[in-house]
Amino acid sequence: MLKFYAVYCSNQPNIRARLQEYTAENAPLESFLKKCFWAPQCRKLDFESFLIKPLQRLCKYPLLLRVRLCTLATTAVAAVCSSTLLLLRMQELMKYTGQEHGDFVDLTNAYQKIVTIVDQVNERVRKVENVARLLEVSSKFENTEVRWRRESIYLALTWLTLTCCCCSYGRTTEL
Amino acid sequence: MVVPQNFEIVDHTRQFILEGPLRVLGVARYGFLFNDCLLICKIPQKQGQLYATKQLLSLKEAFAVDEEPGT
Repeated sequence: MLKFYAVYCSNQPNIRARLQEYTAENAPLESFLKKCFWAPQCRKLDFESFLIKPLQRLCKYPLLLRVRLCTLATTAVAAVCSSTLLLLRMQELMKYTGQEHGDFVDLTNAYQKIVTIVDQVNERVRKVENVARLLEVSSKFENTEVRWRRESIYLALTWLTLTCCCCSYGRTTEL
Repeated sequence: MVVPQNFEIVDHTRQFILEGPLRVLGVARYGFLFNDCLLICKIPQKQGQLYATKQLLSLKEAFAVDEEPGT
């Protein structure tokens, strides 16, 4: 499940533009989204706010797990989290949680996995942003052969998708 | 070297670094630096005009030479 976060989050920068495009073209959709906005269940959050939730949640996982880990064992985590701030936080949290806990191994694994996923997402977002930057730069040239072509974007984005999928399945070799 | 016909900026391995004015053999030009090449362009005559590419310098083949001013 977590591997899809990488694909989803890397498309986050396009959401606003795509949503504006769709709502401009589709009046019933716009009206429906406005209606949802005022629904009590949505708590005055627009559609875009919900679309960014997975990204926000993903960023919270490592923090949550790190804090939880800190509560479990001061000495074990000290090797991983060497920052003074974390050590101070650990000492504070140790008041409430014992050092021995059955969930420690699972939590450590969960933490390592989520950190890997977050790194993958960051890397993919960075690459997508780089392609977007290249497209922006290429639009400044008058030479048609230098300017971007649809095939170039398609190939660049396909490469990103394939790389992401390969990373998700544990392969690290570049295509 | 002259910009090849098949040169395309958009490439997943290429990264844009910076752009700015520069001088090539005393001529005012505008450069776009990427991680693998430097694209040298003619400065547009009017604001809003697009850049015409003049030369492409592959950084793999390039080397730097220190020269005393005026030599």
